[in-house]
Amino acid sequence: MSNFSVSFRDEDSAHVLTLKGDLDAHTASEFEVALQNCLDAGKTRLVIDGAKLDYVSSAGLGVFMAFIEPIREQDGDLKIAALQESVFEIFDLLGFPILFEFFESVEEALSRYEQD
Amino acid sequence: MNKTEFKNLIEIPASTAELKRVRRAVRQWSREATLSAARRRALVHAVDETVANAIEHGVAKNNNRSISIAPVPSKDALGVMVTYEGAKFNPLDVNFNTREALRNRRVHGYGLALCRRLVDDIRYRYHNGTNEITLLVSVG
Repeated sequence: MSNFSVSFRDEDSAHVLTLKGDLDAHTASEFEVALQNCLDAGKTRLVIDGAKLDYVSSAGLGVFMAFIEPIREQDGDLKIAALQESVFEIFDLLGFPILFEFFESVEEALSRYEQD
Repeated sequence: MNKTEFKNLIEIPASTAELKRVRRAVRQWSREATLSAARRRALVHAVDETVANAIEHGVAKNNNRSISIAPVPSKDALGVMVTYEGAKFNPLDVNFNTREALRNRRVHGYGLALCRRLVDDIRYRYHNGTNEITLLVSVG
């Protein structure tokens, strides 16, 4: 059984996706489906709540990369918040902060949408 | 690989569902080798990426081939050897430019770049139709 899950909630300024568990080559497709569902529903102002994300592999990073342009083409964004330090390190090692905005908290990420 | 040489070797079917089990095993070996938490994480990630790559690209399909993962401890380092039958694939031969990949929004290929950044050494051997990749992290 997968120990990875995605849950959703709507805030005033954006749609928050809470990731829990391990995002690896086995579970990346679940994340892909979740993001595609958001796109299909026209929800393109997205915040990833990564506080309970325990692990990310390159497969997970690939999903972020696959969706960033389609989301931005629809005037949206994919902001990443509250990552554990060990998880952020993996994004950082590959230079992802060049392309994505990272925030200490979901609230900060939501505030950024309100300012935009 | 002579499997009888390696204590604590695990064998998994070529399925990504096994990756969690692989990570758990590498964490355990790393604790026994007294790696620091950071080095433990680095090795776990690198082995996970290597095994995932073997599952998705390397293992000969339709033959129920398995992948072996074994700790290779030494005085100064902990190595983890990943072994699988299939076409020759030397990760050291792959030229992956991370900046260019980001610029072009590449979706695949980051696993090898991660491995190179995370571990202290990567060794490769192709022998009798079998790929052997050893990822090493120094203990000190």
